[in-house]
Amino acid sequence: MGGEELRFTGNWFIDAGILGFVNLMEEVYGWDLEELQKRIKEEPEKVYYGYFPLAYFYNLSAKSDENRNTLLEAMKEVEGFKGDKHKLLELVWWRYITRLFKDKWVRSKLEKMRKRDIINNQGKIRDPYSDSKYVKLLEKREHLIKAALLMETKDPNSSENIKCEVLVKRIIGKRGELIEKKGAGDIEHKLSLEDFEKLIKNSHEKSKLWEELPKECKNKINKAIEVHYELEQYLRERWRHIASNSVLGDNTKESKKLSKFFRLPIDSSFYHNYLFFNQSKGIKEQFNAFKNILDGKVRKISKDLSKFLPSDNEFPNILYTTFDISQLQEQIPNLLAYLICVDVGMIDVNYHNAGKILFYSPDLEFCYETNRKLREWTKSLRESNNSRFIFKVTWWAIIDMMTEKKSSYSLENMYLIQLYRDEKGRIINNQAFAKVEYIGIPKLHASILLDDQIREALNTSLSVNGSNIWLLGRFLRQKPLYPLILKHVRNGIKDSGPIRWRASLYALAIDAKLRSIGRDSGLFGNFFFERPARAVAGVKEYYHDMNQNAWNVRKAIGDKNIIYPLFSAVRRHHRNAFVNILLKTLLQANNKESASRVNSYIFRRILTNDESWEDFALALVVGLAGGGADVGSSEESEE
Amino acid sequence: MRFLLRLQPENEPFRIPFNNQHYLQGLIYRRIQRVDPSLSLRLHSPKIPKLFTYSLFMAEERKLAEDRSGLLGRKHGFFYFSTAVPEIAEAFITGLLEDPEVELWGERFTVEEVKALAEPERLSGRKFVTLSPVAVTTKRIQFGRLKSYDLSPTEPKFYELIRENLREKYIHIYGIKPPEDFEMRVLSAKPKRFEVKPGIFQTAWHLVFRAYGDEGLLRAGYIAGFGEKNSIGFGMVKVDGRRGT
Repeated sequence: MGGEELRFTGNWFIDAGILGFVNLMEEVYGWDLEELQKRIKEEPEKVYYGYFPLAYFYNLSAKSDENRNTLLEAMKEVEGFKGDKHKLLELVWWRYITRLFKDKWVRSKLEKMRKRDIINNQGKIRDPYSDSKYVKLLEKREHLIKAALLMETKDPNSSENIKCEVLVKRIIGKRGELIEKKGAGDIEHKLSLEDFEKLIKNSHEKSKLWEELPKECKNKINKAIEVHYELEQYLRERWRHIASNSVLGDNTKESKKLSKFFRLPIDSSFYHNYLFFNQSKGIKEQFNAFKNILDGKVRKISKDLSKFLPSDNEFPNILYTTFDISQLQEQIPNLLAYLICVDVGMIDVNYHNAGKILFYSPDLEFCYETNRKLREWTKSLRESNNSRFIFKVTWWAIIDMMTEKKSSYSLENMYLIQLYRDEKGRIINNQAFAKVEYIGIPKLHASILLDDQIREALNTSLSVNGSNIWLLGRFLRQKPLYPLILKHVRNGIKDSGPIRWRASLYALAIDAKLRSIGRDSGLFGNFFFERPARAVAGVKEYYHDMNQNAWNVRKAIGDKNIIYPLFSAVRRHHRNAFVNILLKTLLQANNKESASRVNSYIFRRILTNDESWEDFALALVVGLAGGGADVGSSEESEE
Repeated sequence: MRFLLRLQPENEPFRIPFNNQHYLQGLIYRRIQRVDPSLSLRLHSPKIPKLFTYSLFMAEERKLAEDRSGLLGRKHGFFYFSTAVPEIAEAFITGLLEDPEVELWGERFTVEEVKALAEPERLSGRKFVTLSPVAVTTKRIQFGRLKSYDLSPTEPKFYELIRENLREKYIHIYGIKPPEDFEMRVLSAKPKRFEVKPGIFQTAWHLVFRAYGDEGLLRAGYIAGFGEKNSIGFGMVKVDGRRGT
């Protein structure tokens, strides 16, 4: 049976999941989009019930050599598997996924150092720890540690009586009390697994501090270590049996307890409590929940899956807090598999409070490639601690892709999705709202950006009021460029700062072009559809005219004193004043040829141009005030 | 578009003949020809509305010459120029920029300032004052021959022809069917007889009038001139800027 090719749906949240799915498979198996599409087409069940679960849980496990080997072994098994999809899932789950979590599971059990850690408020053993031998060994270890710490002996340095606790503290380098009185003579130790492992290390190495311990104390601790090893051995043995699944038995109360005892120690800061991540689920429930996801048996989703749905707290009426996806599932059979991958599609940005980000556009290939670039660049951002903004980096990835693919069609509907970090630097996982910023740009802007010359010219920062503003960013945000150039020129005139000639003129040319286009309202006519293609030519034509005449005005007018009144006239939108100042000066110009050209420009671009005369007028001020030393020879200017 | 051209005289006082239009016409055509010969050629072809006009030559201070042949001016000389065709203005102003030294009726001037003027937003109902007199002619049979006849504001045909003339200009400027809506009420009128070419005279009228009607039609008159023979210096008006007008 052939599978359906992966396609974006147009719904950014689902598509983010699809992208996450693609990223996951690439990260784990090294398949690029093309390879993944091919495999889905050829063997969809193997992908969704074999490779995907393996990849999903491998991604959540510790990245050890052992786990990598397990993955490679599992891949071979999946590759050669012939049979039912559910059998494949069972095989992968019980034989390989469980193996991926063996160490983590054992450690999570060993970490409980006191009985108090595994009992509930009623004093009963909690289900995840409900194994009599485990509890017995844990108690034994706890008792021996406590006994050792409470022992008294002579201080080797002062010959006074001293508790073993003090000497142990010296060994593990801890300051606080290791013994805690719990009232009514009840005493507990406060040693963590890490502390205990330090003791084990010192005993193995027979360190000086260890050797200073009194013999009785050493003996007790050694016994505790022996019990610890026995406990670890026991747990590993128990876990080994889980691979057969038979250890769990039927749906009895006892088997449910066992299922919880063997719960896969997985958690997600993104999905937090969702189905198999929920702490109360046993390994069997985890398996079934995952199977239901693959089978599409989950019909409703809520905030635990999508951060963008309302929470119970926000909506007292619970009916509004879940979202029925059954209809969507008819269109997208593997919808849930994608939805649990949204976080994998996101890029972790360890910069300021950026948290996780995701670039989204409705074209899968474009989105995939752009995010790949973005991922690489954000990594270098982290390494270099560069202060560029996420927005800028995102845009660079987009522009890079855009110029590579020469496609402007997918740029109109883009989003930058962002999950914030909390003050401790963790990705927010407490149902807090995540930001979705629309960053689409119209086709018109995109087509202008596709031009290398224009793009390069705009990729500069202009100094404005003491700060630097990224011109391209401003354009991408679809803000008018004229006000920025006006401020930049003012900055140059007032503070004698450098005026970026080329960037300013291109910005003014774009502004003028967009203004002139803005007045054409003929939707759906040829003019409308040809607009983007013509826009670039128009911008360039304007730029060349501005550039030529900015230079001509410099040649014609040596008197820089008119810059201020000219600038003032532009700023006050006083067209006639601007023209009159200029004409009066041009009448006295020595270079008549240049003066004539400027005059022609005044008539063509200023006097007869109600929409954008300010852009063309300001270009002349740039010419008078700016650099542009070699404009005459190459038609380009120095900045 | 409308411009004020201020000229610095070489000598003071400088002479200003009453019939100064054809000198200014010569200046305009020469400067246009210098910059854009093909445009100049087009402007010379008859039967085409030229869509530009200009005022009489004026001086900041003036008095009647002793021999009453003209005026004597002091300080700056100036005149207005207006057109509905930017290329004409561009060529004329460029011509002046290239060579600001001008000679009119034997007097030498330097163009010192070319000033673009703001145009009024609304024209209907405003009071207009002529900067050069309005000429309206028709053909009438006199002594058995069809002869050119200069109409006066006392004749209804004067207004009828002004309106038809405006409508024709309207078509040339806007390229669409002209409206009918135009009315003109003369408040005062003063005839002037000009020798436009040696031996050829034209009686035209200095008017103060109010005009009402379609803004486009009125604007055609404002920028290209009211009446006929605008391109030889007739029919330029200004809006009276005095309060209450």
